[in-house]
Amino acid sequence: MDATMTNTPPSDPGKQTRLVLGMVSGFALLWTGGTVLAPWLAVHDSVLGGWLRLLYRPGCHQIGDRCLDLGFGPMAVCARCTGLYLGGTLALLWTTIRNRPSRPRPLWLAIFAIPTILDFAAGQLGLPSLGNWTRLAVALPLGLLAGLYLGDALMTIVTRNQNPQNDKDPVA
Amino acid sequence: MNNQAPSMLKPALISGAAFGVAGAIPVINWINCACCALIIGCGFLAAYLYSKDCRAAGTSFQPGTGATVGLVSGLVYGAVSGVLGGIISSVFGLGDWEEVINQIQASGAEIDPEVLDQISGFMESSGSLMVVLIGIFFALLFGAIFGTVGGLIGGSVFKHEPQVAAYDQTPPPPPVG
Repeated sequence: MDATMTNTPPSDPGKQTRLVLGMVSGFALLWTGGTVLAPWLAVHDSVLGGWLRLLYRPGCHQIGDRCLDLGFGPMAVCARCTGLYLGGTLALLWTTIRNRPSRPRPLWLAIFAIPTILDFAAGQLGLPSLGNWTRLAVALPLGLLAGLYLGDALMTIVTRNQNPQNDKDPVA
Repeated sequence: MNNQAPSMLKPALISGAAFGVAGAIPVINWINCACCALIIGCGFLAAYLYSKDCRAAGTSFQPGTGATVGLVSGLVYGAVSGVLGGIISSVFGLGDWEEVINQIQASGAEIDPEVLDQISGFMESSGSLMVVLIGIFFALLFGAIFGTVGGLIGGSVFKHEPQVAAYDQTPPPPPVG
């Protein structure tokens, strides 16, 4: 093949995956940060705080008693959602920094989901449920796992798009 | 095993319709209060069903495929739950915006009264049909976003390569005669 036709150096797949993961992690960080920013803005008499809180409304009941309070009113989402968001963000950041995916066994997903499901069911049935910080701690590992799987999925997509012939699993 | 990628429509429709119906039923749809868990579950189930179809057909299943089938199932979820939710709201009179605001306030949620006033003004001027249409729009939007997330997670959990036909190790029959 003519050398002039192939003089574009192939882009580094490692850089590409880091770039994509970095962008997704940045978005996750902004999304999680927004849950703290909303009450902070509201305390500082900004109407943006109310709108920001409304943005999180479809994904969370936002009951004040069940939200963590970091000193300027209840956060925009409940403690459980905070745990899930925080876990997901931390896992995505971890995958970005390592630039290597990790895919835990699916059994762990079921194991970590059970306490959150039980706590959610207890709340719905009117039974006594966990405190806010405990609820966050219970949801955090589930969010971490979801974030790790998301990171793995994104890395696989980028790697395969770089080289469609590459059938190798990046985790293997 | 025909090594041809199976259709995504069946798993997306099954998952989207099942979760869409659940998402329209007033008490069950509270599950969505946990980070849109119903919609993420919808994409995850669609990815699982499609991965099974792919395995049976002898084709690979990758996170990109999971994201696509999750997106389609999320859109089906949005359409089903949006339309059904609109019908249920109309029949049981839950579409009244004042009622929705009362529910939000009764739940103890801290929402700026100024923001609620602005939304109430808009809703009162546009009528209940607009409330239903906005509901369908947001159901489609959130269905697409969180269905894709569920499909991506499912794609990572269930991904597999195409199965290579096993080498037949049985010896050939001895020559006759």
